[in-house]
Amino acid sequence: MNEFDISKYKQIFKSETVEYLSQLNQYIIQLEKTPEKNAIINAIFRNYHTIKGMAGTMEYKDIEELAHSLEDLLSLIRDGSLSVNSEIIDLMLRGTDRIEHLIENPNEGGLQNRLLIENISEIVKGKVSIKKEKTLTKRPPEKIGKATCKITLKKGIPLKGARAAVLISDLAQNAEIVNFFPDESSIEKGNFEEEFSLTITPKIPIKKIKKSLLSYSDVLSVDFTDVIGKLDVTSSILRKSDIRVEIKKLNTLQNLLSELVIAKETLRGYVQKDDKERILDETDRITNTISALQDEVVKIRMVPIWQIFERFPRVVRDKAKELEKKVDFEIRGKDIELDRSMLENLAEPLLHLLRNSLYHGLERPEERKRLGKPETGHLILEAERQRGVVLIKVSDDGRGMNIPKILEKAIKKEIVTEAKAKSLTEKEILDFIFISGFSTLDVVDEVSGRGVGMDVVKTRLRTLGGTFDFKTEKNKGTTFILKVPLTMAIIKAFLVNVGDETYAIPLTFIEETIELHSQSIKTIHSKEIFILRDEAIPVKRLHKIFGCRNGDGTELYPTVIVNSESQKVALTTSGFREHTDIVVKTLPKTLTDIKEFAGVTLLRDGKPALIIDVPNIV
Amino acid sequence: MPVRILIVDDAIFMRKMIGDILKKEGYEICGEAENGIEALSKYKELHPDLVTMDIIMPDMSGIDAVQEIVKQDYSAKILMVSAMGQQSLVVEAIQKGAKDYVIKPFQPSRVLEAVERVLKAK
Repeated sequence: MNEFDISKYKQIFKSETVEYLSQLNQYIIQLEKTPEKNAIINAIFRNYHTIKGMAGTMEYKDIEELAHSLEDLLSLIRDGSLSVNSEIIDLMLRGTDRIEHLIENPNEGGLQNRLLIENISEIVKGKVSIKKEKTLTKRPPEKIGKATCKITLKKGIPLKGARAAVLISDLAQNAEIVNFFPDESSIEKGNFEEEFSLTITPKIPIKKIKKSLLSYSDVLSVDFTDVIGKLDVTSSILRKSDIRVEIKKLNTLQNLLSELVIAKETLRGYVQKDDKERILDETDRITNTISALQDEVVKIRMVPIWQIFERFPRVVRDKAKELEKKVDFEIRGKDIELDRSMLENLAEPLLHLLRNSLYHGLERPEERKRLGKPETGHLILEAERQRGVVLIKVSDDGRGMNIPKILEKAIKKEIVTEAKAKSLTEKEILDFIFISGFSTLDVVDEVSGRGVGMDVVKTRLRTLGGTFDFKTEKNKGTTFILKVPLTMAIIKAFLVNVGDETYAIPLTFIEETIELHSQSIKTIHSKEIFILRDEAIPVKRLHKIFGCRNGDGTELYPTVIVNSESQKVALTTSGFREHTDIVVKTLPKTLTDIKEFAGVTLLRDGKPALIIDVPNIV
Repeated sequence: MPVRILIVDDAIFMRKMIGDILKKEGYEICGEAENGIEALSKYKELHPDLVTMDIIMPDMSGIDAVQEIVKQDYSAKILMVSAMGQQSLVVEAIQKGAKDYVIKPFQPSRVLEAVERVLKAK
């Protein structure tokens, strides 16, 4: 049984355990809210149990031991001899964290593990000794859902059907047998090799069932392969390089690929015959196939947003507890899908924002009471799909941003002079929070190890091709709004010429295109602007920014009005080309410090086009 | 008090053999029966802790005897004694309430293992 190489199961073990841990975090937090819920207790128990089993198989002793002690703790809670308090919740969360750490470093259990296990076993032992005295009055432990019990008999035993029948009747004393594999009569006729499986609902701990079955010397091994009742297998969390793809999607890819291969051959034939019309037709078909292929690949990269959202309740809970604030955390729209690399890049900014709302936004219960608000604050994280983009909002019903305080700080930090401060609009004052290192509370966040700045979030969003904005109202709360494209790999862009070169402007930023007369451009305070429908819009001449020689004497500029974080700017060009899908490639390292460009793409003619980083130019 | 066992088998040789194996381990053979009908009356009379039951016997088979005994005493502990090739009969006996079985020719350790386990069960 143990002859096979277990190392190849490492990856599956990792990703599956991560999945269980992530569920555990959710369950444990739910348990804290509803400590009497048996379903949750059972779910937690099952997860620890499963992790224990998997770790045991992998011979990860440290994980196995820890999961085992947590399982013990849970079984006490389950049979009612231990009631859940925040100390126990913390212990469970710590245990879960520890296991997570150990997955990456399986042999680093050491002292920390032992201490944690000791902590747990103190509680367990304390309870067990009390329990023993009143063991007669204890109600029987509850069922834990279904499990598959695989029984392997020794080779060549006589009358194995009869042996199986005995085992089944023994098992039936301690469990309800739901299903047989092979079917019952085949088992009793001995029509199986050495093993047969039963789906059971245990009435006593699985361990005891196993022990009882193993007391038969004809039995070689008993394995409880799986405990059913865990969440949907397909809805797994995926991390980093892992991705689960439906077979159906792969088949579609395969089909499209074969279409391409056929089209290539057809095309070759027409080229040989020099049949121009057919060549064009065929090229069109290939173009369509490629774009279908592109869509499919993008789809495969899409994952539901809950895969990162589900980590947050835990963080919010911990942080709120630490800050002594009461919060009701709600997540909406978690089925919305996003490109997985986008999603991963969003996790950190979102965490910053959630922590920010807990720190600065939500008031302590006393203060909320005084303000006539419910003691428990409301924090909402929601995702919403809009044409080609996903909006993610983090909103709280806290105190809102303190505009006078921000201004005071800006003056103190010498970002703005007192004289100039008077003429600033609210929006301009609020924008100070985007300045690096600006924060209204001088706290250092223990996770990132530095003051959490909105500038960090803004920068990150920009690199993702998204935008970041917020709305705030005194005593009503603050809403942060993140807008991200569905994918980072392929975006819709508008191609423009500046001088002799072609540049791409991501379509998400474009408001409209106009033709701008050079006479309409006015200079105010040495800045160029023009008036569009009573609105003064700054003008940036791209050929100047990019240092092209020609373009100065033009009368009429093809101009793109872009909008980034509610700031409109007119970008003058030398000519429009078309809008198209472009594949974004990152700039070579040596060019990454050029802030005007977000990346590069290859055009149909094989020439490169730089992608304009609109937020950085605005 | 030693554990009292009733041995049911139509063959004296088999009764003797089982008896010896069990006596050696300190079990008391409280009685013997050579068919199902006799087994039934001896069971009522002796209330043994355990019965070893042959399957193929004249007058009343071991399987019918199991059924009758279990009808009277649900917690009766009956160990079937079977020859090779009687799988379906053993299965039937188990389904009617026998707890386990041993196969002829006996391996003493197997017999004792089964007896101990059946006695230990509730």
